[in-house]
Amino acid sequence: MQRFNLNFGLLVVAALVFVAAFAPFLAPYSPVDFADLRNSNLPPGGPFLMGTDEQGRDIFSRIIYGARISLLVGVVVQMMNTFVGVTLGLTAGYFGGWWDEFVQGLTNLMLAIPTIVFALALMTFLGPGLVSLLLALGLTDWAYSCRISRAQVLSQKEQNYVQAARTIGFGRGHVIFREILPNVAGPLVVVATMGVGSAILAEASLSFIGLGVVPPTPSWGGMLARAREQLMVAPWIAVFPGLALFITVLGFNMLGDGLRDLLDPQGRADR
Amino acid sequence: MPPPPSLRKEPVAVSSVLGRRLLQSLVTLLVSVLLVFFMFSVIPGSFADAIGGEKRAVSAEVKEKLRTELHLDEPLPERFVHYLSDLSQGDLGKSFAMRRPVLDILLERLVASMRLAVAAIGFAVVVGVPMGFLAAARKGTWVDAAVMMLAISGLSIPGFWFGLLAMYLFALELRWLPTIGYGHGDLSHLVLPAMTLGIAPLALIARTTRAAVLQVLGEDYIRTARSKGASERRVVLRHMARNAFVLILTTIGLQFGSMLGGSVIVENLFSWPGIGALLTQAVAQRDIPLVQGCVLLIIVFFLVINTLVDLAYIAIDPRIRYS
Repeated sequence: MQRFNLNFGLLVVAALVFVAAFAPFLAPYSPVDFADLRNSNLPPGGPFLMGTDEQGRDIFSRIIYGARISLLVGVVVQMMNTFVGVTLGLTAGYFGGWWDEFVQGLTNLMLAIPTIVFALALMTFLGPGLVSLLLALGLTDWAYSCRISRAQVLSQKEQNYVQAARTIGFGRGHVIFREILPNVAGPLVVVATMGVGSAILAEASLSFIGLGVVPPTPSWGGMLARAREQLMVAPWIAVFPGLALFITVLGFNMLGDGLRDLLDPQGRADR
Repeated sequence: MPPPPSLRKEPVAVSSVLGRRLLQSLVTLLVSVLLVFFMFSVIPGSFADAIGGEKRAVSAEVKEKLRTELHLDEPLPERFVHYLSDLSQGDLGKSFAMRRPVLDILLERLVASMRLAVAAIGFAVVVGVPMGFLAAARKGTWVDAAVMMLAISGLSIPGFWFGLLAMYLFALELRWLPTIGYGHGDLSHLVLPAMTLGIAPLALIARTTRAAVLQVLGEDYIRTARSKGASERRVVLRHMARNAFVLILTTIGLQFGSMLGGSVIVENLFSWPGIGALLTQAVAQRDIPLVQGCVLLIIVFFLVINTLVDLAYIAIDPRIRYS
């Protein structure tokens, strides 16, 4: 079961990267420019593997290009969150004192505000669009990385290798980021992996309510928003973008689960 | 079994534990008010520009009057003091777009959101807890594997996609339930949104329940109870359920507390007239006082529920009183 999680996750992530990288070669039609109202809302089959949307665009091609947005947002957002969370968490745990109190207070606050709500609030003045989306999501979901890196530092700080590095005379920055960080990276990788999945989901959610990626750029969430309007006449539009989203998020979550079991056999999910 | 009198610690007064928790929540609340205020004030021009807003033509004269009315011409710290004193009197400002007090709008919308949240958490608990118990009792069998697979799927499935598919199946195809909207408040309108909002909490609750039960089963006191010859029923109901319950309750509380925030997408999908849909609308219209109000309400709800859960602990788990 554990191996299955890891392998399934790896397979999904590899497939996503492949599809995103080679989208122009894989997609049979242009995701935006190929539109024809005479082809609108065609069911799956024939020249259109997954059917067409209300503007006669090929859903299959749009899903393939949508993978690019998802992957981009997922990776960039999670890198930003990891950077913020790990920096705050490591320094808070290492230095303690008022800085630790402050960071912990901030973390509690971040946990009290759901990511999507915080991101929405930021969107008020950032406006919709890809860059605002990256900023809004990348600055709001770091609480878990922060908590975990803080806890890890606390457990490592008094270890011999840290004392040794200090004695040799390495600076604080070196001790924190070059000595401690590599030794506590395991759990952080797990959190970051699952975080990519939730970032992708958050992007889709915001695009779904019209405050994320701006049409006509194909994004899975945006496609599902169209699907809602066409649900009565063309239900298949709702099926495929959602399925792509579901499998992708599931893949990242299972990869995270699998990595956790691999890196930390004691902390298994079945405990 | 209670420890011998010599080892027994004097219980800390419940009121002091209570006081500490309340103080913590209060501090978080104050900091979040600060954040909600400064976020919309520090960023250059956002407040003043938004008054004009999207497609709301406002003359320079009116704009100036509004600036004075909203204290925009004063220095930031003084504006914050104004904001706090207004807030303490229940004045959350006036919505730019609807030209009505924010508090009134929030209160109108709160009922719909609360009905949805309660129904969703009810669904999640009623299905999730037994699923977790079942998985734990059949640990290592296919039942366990199936429950765990369902749980990770439930956590990964995009809520609004699940909602769309459910809407298609139950409302459009089978015609058992209404598609979207609040109806006249009848329960049939509540079913699909509540299921959609409850699916992720359900998965998490099932996972936690399973983990909690397995953890508690390994504890010494369960073995002690068994070896004393307590019936299996007594072991499960009296010893296990009570202790696993503390862990499960945490998850339920956390999930319920974030439900107002979680409902943003679901309310949009089902055109449900609650706080989440209101927030989206306010953001799209750059209606800053309304955005501030919605965000504050969502935070307050989270904090209140979490404080209540803490209080419940104190009632359930006597150890907390002694720590």
